[in-house]
Amino acid sequence: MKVSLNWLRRLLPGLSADVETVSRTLTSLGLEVEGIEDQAAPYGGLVVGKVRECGPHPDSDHLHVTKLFDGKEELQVVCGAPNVAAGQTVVFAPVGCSLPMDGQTVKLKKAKLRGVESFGMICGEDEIGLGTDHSGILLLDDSLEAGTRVVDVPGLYDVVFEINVTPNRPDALSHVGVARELGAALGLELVMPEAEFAEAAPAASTRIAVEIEPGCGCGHYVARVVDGVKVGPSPVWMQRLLRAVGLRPISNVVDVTNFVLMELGQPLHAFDAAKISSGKLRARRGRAGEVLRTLDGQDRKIGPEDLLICDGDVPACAAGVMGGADTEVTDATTSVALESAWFEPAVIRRQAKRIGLSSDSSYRFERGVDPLAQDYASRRAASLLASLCGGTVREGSVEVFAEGHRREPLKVSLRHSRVKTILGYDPGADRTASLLEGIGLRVLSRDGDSVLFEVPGWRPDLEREIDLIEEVARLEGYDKIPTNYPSFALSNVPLPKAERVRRVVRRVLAASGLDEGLSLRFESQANLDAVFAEDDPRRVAVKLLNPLSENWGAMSTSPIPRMFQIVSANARNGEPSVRFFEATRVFAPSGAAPTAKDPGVVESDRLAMVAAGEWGGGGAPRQVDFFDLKGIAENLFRELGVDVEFRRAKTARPYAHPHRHAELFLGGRLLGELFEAHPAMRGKFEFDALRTVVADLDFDMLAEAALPERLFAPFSRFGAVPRDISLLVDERVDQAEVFEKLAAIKAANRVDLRFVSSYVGKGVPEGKRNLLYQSVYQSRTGSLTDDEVNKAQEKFIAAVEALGGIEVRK
Amino acid sequence: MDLKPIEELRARFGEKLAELDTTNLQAVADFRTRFLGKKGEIVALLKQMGSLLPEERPQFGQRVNDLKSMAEAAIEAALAKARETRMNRELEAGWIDVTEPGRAVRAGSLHPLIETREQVIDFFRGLGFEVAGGREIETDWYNFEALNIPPDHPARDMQDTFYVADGVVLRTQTSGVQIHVMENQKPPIRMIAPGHVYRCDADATHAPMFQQVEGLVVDEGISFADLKGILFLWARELFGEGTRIRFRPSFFPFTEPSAEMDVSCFDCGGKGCRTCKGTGWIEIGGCGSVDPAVFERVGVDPERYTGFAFGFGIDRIAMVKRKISEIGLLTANDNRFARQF
Repeated sequence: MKVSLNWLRRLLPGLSADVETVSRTLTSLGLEVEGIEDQAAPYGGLVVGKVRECGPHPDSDHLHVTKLFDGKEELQVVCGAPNVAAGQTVVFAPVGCSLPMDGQTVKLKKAKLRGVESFGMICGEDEIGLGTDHSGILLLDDSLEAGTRVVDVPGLYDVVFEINVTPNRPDALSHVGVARELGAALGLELVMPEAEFAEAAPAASTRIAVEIEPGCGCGHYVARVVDGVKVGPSPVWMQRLLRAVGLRPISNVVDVTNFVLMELGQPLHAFDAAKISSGKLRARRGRAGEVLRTLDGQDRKIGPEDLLICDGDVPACAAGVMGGADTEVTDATTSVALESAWFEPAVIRRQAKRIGLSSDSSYRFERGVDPLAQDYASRRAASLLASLCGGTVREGSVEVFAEGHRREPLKVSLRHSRVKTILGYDPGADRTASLLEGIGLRVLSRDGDSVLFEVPGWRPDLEREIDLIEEVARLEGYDKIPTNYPSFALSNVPLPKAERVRRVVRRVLAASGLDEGLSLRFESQANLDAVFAEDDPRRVAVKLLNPLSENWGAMSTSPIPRMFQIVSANARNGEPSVRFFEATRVFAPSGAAPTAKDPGVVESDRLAMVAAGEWGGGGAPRQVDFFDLKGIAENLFRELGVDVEFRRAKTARPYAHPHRHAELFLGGRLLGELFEAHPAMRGKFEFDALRTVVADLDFDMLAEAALPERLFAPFSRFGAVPRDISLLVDERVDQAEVFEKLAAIKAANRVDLRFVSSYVGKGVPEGKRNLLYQSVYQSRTGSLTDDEVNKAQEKFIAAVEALGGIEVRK
Repeated sequence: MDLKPIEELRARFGEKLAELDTTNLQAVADFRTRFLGKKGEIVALLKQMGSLLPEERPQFGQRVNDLKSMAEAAIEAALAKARETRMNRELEAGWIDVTEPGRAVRAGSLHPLIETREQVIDFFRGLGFEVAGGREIETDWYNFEALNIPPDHPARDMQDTFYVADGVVLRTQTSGVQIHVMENQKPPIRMIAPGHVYRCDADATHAPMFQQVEGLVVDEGISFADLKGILFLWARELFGEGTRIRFRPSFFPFTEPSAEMDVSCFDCGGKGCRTCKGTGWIEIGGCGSVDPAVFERVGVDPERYTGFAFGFGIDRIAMVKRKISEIGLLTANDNRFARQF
């Protein structure tokens, strides 16, 4: 909300505080000043000038040559304005002063106009930021002294505060409301705007009747009629104030309604009374199929939830949001029917949303205007229409209340003891009462600890004791409340398991060379379709109804597409190497319909890793491969104390290289996958040059099993003896299968069996692979002799040979 | 007794030793074998003793042993010299450029936002706050209604909400965790809930997903002054000893009184600079006393219990502290960002 300092000064005549103090005070009251616009700032060089002589230009029929007194000397100034004349008091821009022109700041120089020198410029209002009138120069009050800085002339330039008004404070959406707060804080008296005018017969009711359909959402309606109105521009002072708060002056009648809106916070609407052909204004709900052409010329479809003001039965106005074109005030209007009404906040809010139009009016109605102030606002507007538009106000008003509309101020009681409990601070009973009285509350009665207050209508937010306690704190200032350190009963609070595991994971993976990533948890359906097969449940995402873009239309179902995108984005930046890990969350529809307490979504946490492009340190980096990331994963599992088995993936996936794809199992359950990205993905996501390996793990499962208490296992103090066994197997047999068979063979005193290496090449027949394993023999009771070991190993070898399909190389 | 062969051998040894290339370890070893080996010349002399008269043997033996000792000493010296020479040569050959980079895979970085999150958790856990989690897709009830934000309330405009279905949203605030906790736990309650939240908004200072931390304390006799105390300690933990705090009145439907907390700018100490946009203060988050309406919705007696709640943007804290200019960088997974931490 834009608040004009000049406007505040009209309401708080005693206001002399500087801009900084006003700003600070408003902020400390909870009316946060988010910006200050000093309109005068660019115009400090302008001075008041007196036109002493004015004659024709020798070489032009529209230019004038004047003698201008700037307070110190008389200067020759050429002026092209048709309205310049001797004896005028004008705005003078001397040579050397800076003015904003066409978005730039221009320093004024001595000029020659058709051969006549000019030592400065006499300004029009459009040239000095005071309006749009380009027809001539701006004339100032003759009582001003020559040489006075124009920015110091009262009422010309304004300071505008941009205030962030929280939704609970509809009262602060008006200058009176802001002035009331400021006045209470600075000890200044608020002078309410005048609402006096002469009335003349006949009565308003002879022209307009008002009817409210029960339950339609209109609580209170006041209509006045002003005849004999002459539509024209509104006075300059009003235009300036409206412009300062961001409104465009339109005509005196419309400007008056906008002015009162900004002054009192009560939205008004002016109908051309002659166009209310039925003579009756009726508030009712809309009907399906109805159409209303609004002031902006658009035809709006009306539904049964909309609230209309009708001319008889014909829609004339979308109540509280925007007027209709058919009953609009125009230059030809002479008689105005003035609406001042109270509409139900939720009804207007829904209406404004449906129409897709938030107006100054709807904004205030949906936050709640003072239910007791319609008549005052109507009178205020009528007085302005009478004084500024030449109108005559008809006698009386037509005022209708809907049943149930609150016609009395609220009464709220406050226990002083409760103030202390909530705030931890006691301002004292008297101080508490006087703070509340300062913003318009009244003490009705006292009963021991408890005081009954009457709450003014402009504070619909003050309904409960706690609301009053907040007011006390706010008005006293939060810095008056002490800083206290509460004492709590001691208790131990363990870090949740998942958090404990997360911390280990972060540090292990970072130490392994992966950077910690963090991604938005949005995904595009197109990516899901590209990465996952048709029957893959990860293709089915929780969809957003209002995504920021199609690319972010679905909630993430898997980190895999995201890992590809991370590589892709970095590859585009020319990065030769990309390595990230991320603990993240994925979402899936649960299949159940949402209820009040169940959103119908299953959330689970994943741990993802990606390594792409160059790997290794020092001199000659190489492309990362499957085993680089597998090694990192294995180290992580060792650190977490979990036993994870890697198996060749059985199902082909579009995202994974068919032969470089492992599934990981923990306690027999699928923990996740580790794979090299399918070359098709490298093309699709545009990281062709970077070989990419990805791991995607179920973090919830991992966290549950991780970090068991590690127990000590006694070890033998006698020497361990290794024996190698070299095998020839079919090339495409997984060593894990071979290992399983070897491990199943019992051998005396064997304490360990290890895979050592795999070899294909010279000395190995085509289609075969050489696998080297090592058995380790050790006894708990004594040193083994070579003989004992050899015997055991020979027996072992014989058993391996007996397996078939495996050739033992000797 | 003919001692001549001994003298001849001694002479020959001396002669050959003089010719020996004592920098060549192999040559020295061969030399040793020639004279002192099992089949070497000195051993051969000793073997001749059998042909001598018994009375001649001691003297002959003595002589040969003298020669042998002399030879051993000489060869040992030559060997030592040869070894040293070889070692020196190897050392010389072992020149490396120690300023070349090491060979390990470069260690990765920890995300500044998640570091801040850990700092938050550790601080409040130290004060005895439990750490709660929560779901990110939430029902209208938990995200709004139970927090005293009815449908069609203008307070809903304070947050641009992503909708998944009618009545199901991406949570706009971690405050809903308050409700989950109070539904399941009787006071006293002291908890924090760090987590991701979503707003339908994206520019240099707004991200559609960011992290908040929610805090909640409910007990008998908890006041706004206690809230100020806890958050004052928190501000000092974050921004250092000299930090001051400021509370400004604000509005949240689920707290009353409500406040925005500012901390004095840690860069300029409050004088005004770029970090604090000239105001001397940095806005950190919202807080307030728990609104009795919230207590009533979860069945906590507001006459007996009072409490406070707060919510801070973790992104904001991390950004201010690390001078991160754009919130989008936090979720870009860009090497150029990540590798700075």
